[in-house]
Amino acid sequence: MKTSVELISLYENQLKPALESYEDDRKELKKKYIIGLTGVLVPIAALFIFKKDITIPTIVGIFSVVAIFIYFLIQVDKDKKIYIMKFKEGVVKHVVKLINPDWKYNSEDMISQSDFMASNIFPNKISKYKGDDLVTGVIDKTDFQFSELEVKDEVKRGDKTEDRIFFSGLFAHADFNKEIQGETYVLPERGVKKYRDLELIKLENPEFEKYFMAFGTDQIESRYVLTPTMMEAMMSIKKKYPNPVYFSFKGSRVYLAMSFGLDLFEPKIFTNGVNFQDVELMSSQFRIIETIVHEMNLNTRIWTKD
Amino acid sequence: MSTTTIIILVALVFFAVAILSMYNGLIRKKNEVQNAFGGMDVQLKKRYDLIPNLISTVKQYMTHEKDLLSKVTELRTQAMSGKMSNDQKVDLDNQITGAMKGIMVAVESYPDLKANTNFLNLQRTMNEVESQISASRRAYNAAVTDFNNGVQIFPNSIIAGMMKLTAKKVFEIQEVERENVDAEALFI
Repeated sequence: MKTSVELISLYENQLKPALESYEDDRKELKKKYIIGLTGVLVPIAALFIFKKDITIPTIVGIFSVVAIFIYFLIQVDKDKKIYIMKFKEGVVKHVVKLINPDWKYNSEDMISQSDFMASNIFPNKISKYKGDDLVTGVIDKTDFQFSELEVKDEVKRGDKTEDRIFFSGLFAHADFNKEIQGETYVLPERGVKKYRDLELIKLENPEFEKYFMAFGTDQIESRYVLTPTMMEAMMSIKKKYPNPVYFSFKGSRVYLAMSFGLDLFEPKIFTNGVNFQDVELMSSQFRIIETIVHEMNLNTRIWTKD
Repeated sequence: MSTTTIIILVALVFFAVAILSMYNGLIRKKNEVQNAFGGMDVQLKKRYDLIPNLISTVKQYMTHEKDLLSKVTELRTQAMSGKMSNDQKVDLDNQITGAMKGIMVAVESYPDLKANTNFLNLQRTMNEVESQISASRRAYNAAVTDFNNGVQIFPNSIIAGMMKLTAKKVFEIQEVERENVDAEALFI
């Protein structure tokens, strides 16, 4: 495991100069956003303030100005994408490489929808699926994939259907070290009466039961998966990262979904981008997969599966 | 019908439904315990099936543990005979668990055996079966706890008393399992 000293040295020698070189782009983007937003908001505000004295030609004029600025903002958004790509190639990629040089990072790729669905964690019908920052690699004997995802379903509001985010955060799957036939799910909530048609697995660890609920196809197999050590590992993950976390054990994989309310591994636009804290936070988020593999002892291969 | 009669009838029906649901609940819990015991039995049988293989592999190497090996074989034969109460099964299972651990500890003094591929495979299967047994014991304990809650909590306890249902024992880790196993001492 790489120490924070190495991260500081990477930051000082490589990332800081890169971030500093992006500062001009960032300031330019910020300026453009402010101009664009002002150009849209001020005419609209004027429309409301002077609504009594406004003539039709003025309204047409105002809308033309607003339309021009909206077009301008769309162009700025394209610049932002280029800026983000630069940031990911010049900063994020190096942070991942520092954790493990053999891991593969692709800023535009994500965990496939079929893998997300294979986890079976969320019963929702997917309407929109997007993500980025895919990391693929192997930790000792355990291969894994890990990316940011934002998944939506459709909900009815009155007569209209709207897209609603039902999962946004980090999603990972890794090779599970035991042979299993059935399915086991661990949810970060209490009071769920029914989860699919699965049996509730009442476990003997009261602290675990306080944080999670487990469901499975088979009482014995679910306990074979959720050993006392595994329960401790899940609680330890939960304590390290207080975000809601879901687990599923299915086929030969363990799946994990950790909700985050914010966009991860993205550069800042409105505040200074040159700071170590952001890089440190990013590094710790990429390390979540290491924590999972180690805490869950996924590299222990003393059972029939190699 | 007077209002009083209607109230009494409604109360009686309510009472009968309550008793029936308590009765059914207890029967369900009792069956779950039986089912969980059955699940444990299946896992224990897997272990019995592995024992002959294990013994034949290790006996070529383990020259000083003849007694230990023959004791395990004997325990297995007893367990396979099938004429036992649940308590006897549990007791025998505990003895086998202790003896198996004894073998695994003794293996440490035979480096050639530890490197034997056949033994390594058996050891993995054994770990697997032991984990399954431990999972099935925990499943049994969960079912028993649920049953005991049903039997002991008022007003279920009244119905349980009439059905002659009493609290069952949960599995406890035996002292021998908690300590480091001294293989020879187990059979003295």
